[in-house]
Amino acid sequence: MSAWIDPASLVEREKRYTLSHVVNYFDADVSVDVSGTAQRRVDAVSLSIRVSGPEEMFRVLKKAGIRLSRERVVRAVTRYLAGHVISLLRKPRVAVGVDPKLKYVVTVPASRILCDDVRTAVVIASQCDNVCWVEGVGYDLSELGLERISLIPLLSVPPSVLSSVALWYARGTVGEKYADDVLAALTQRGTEVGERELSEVLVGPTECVGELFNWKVVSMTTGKIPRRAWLDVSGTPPRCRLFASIFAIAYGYSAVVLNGVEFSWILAELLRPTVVWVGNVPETFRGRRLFDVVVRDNELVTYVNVAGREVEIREGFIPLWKL
Amino acid sequence: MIDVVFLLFLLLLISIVKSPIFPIILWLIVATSDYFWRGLSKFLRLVFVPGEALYVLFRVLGAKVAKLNIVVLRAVMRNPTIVTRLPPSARKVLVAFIAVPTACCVAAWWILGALSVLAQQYGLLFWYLNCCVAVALPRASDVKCVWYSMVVKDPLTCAFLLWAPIVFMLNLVAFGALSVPLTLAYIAIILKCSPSDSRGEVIAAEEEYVALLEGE
Repeated sequence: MSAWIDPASLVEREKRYTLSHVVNYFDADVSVDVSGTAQRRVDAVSLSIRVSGPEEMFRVLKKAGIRLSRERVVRAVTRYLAGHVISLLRKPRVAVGVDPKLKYVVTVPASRILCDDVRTAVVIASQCDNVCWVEGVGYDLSELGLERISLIPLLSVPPSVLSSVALWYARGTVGEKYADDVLAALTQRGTEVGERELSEVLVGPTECVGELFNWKVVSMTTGKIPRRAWLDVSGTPPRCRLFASIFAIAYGYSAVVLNGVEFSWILAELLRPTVVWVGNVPETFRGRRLFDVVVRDNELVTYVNVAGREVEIREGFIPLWKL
Repeated sequence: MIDVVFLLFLLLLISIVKSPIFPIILWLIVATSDYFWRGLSKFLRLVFVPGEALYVLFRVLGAKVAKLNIVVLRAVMRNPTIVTRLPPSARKVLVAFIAVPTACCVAAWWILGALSVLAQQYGLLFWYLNCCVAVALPRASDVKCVWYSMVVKDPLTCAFLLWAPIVFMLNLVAFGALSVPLTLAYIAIILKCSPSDSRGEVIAAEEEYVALLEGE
């Protein structure tokens, strides 16, 4: 069954969140159509929302005071309202807090998230099944149910992933043209070429690889890479943290948390859903917005593109860890 | 001589104040001074405080009738220029700010008139209450609000509507008694030909109005 939602019934923020929660609960299909300027001289767009799902979902929505129609309902709405609806109907979502009046749970789309408090990252990570936490500060995350990877077992990493990691690591350190050398150093070290011999043969590009072995970030061994893992890179040089971060992003974890990792342009290039970055890093880089969601102490800022223009949505909330 | 003039002036003033049309005069003073002399308007509203309460009450009633969000009403009442940024439907604003309050005031006057007839007196209390009802009538800010909400959406239609008195005068000269229906037909054609979206409402989130309220 499918129906159209009247955007006029989503004026209150509580109802928009109700729609988001119900749609997520029933795993309904949602399509949001936003088109151009609907009104002259007013910054507005045309919005229509179509929802497909079980009949029970529509009963719940009706009870919540959201108007439904079998006919298509197109309304002129402000860019802000359209942006908030689009943002709330993005899936998957993670809960980060509650409304200041404790009426509803505040969620954010699982996308590129920047937060200033590690506890918020803990809340997000605890909701993900497949997560890798790159820890650069020194917290012990074993209590969170994350399994520690003391050394990245390079022999257990698929070759395609390893070549991607080598390429990105080379780009971020010694240069892209040395990507093959970095890959060779990562795959050969400790097997066919001895440590001393390697440093004599591959000087320069592989210094940074040697650093990874020296600081015990990687090892030429096999081992299990758990689905919920954390990599302790605290106290290591920035290049080791960079390598661990690139590995976590490239390995295919659905969520990656970077805590205490220095900002690097290469990581800015690699940011993808869902990467949670904890710390003081720039929100924009080379004129490009790096994060879709910024979670500050009591404020949530979401950036959404609505009909070719970026909209900033700010809302207050109480973080879950404060409750 | 000066004393006599002063006395005559005082008597004239008292006769005006006591006359049944005084509430209308008061309304004209309050409505216009709201635009050009805010201090006088505030003073009169302070003197007729129940009228100010009625003013708010009638607009809340109007918002309920027009299905206009109370937050929007508050925002627009605080600052009519808000409608240029987040315009509600001009029809809703017209109903909430002009039609319903006027109807309520007329009804209140009718009730007060009936009560004074029943009580067989028109004392100070009835005079004061009539004046209070006059204070609750639409003011310059209400008209400004309706005008803004129309202009912002379709300035061309508004320009043609402004031309209506001239059309009326021309019709009066040319066709005499037919001038009124012809002018009404002119207005109807303009409204009919105005873009359909100008009559619609731009729906804004509640928090946008709250933010504007807090920011102002």
